[in-house]
Amino acid sequence: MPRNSSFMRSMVSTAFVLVAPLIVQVLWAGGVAGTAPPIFHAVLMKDFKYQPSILAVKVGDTIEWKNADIVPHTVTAVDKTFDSGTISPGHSWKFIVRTAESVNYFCTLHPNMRAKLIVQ
Amino acid sequence: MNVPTEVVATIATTILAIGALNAPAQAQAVAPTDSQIVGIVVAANQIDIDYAKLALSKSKSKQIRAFAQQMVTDHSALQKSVFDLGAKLNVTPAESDTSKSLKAGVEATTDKLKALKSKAFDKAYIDNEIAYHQAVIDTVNKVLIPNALNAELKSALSGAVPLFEGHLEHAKSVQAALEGKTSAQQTTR
Repeated sequence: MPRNSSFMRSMVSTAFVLVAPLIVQVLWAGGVAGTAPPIFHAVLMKDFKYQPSILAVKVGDTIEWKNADIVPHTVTAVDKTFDSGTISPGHSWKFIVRTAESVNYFCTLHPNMRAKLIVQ
Repeated sequence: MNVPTEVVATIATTILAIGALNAPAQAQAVAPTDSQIVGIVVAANQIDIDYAKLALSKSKSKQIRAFAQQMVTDHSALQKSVFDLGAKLNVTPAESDTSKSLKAGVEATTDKLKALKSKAFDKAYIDNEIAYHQAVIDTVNKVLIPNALNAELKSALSGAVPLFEGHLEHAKSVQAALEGKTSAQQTTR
């Protein structure tokens, strides 16, 4: 019996070593699913349009606007909560979403360029 | 605010010079060559730059000046891209009856605009910008793009249309603001 007891303890230890990482992995994944990590979004400014013109984001996400036109543009919130200043052709500007409020934005240089951030 | 009749007539002459190209293709005596198309774009660009510089020298309106400065910036950038593309494609801008008519019409329009002051100038300038950009858009879509033989030139012309359309919409918002209907800023909300 002592030999059997020792065998059982060895089996339990082995099983624990094998299963423990899986348990940790499952717990970690569950934690991640509960708080999604920030996401990177890219918006292209091309042909006098923001592409996409409507973008759904979450607080903490980063958005990068790249100017692919031959003229400068801006990314300016209508409520003035953010303003990129002039973005020259070929350059870009990043913004991290800090508040859970959707906002319309436009190009001050070309006011017909309009778009919207939907903050979820 | 009434704009003098002679100014309207002169502006109309300029627009008609562009508009002449808008006739159906079969009515065109000779379709413009790629060199002539580049020449027309260069002329049209320069015309709007010159109008804008005149506005910057005469107008005290914040909105007119901002719009005019944008025309200088954007059309100068477009002009550079046209010259760069022409050099790349080995296409030299060539004069045509249309480009000559454009330039002739501009001289008369400029003289008339110079004679106006204050709000009369602002209104005449922005009215002209609206009509001018609409005529250019029509010409590019109906004449220049269909007749361009080089695919890259055709693509570049198509790519320039959103710029002209943006300017047209911007000009309309400035016109509305001058007329007290709304402000250019409010139109973005």
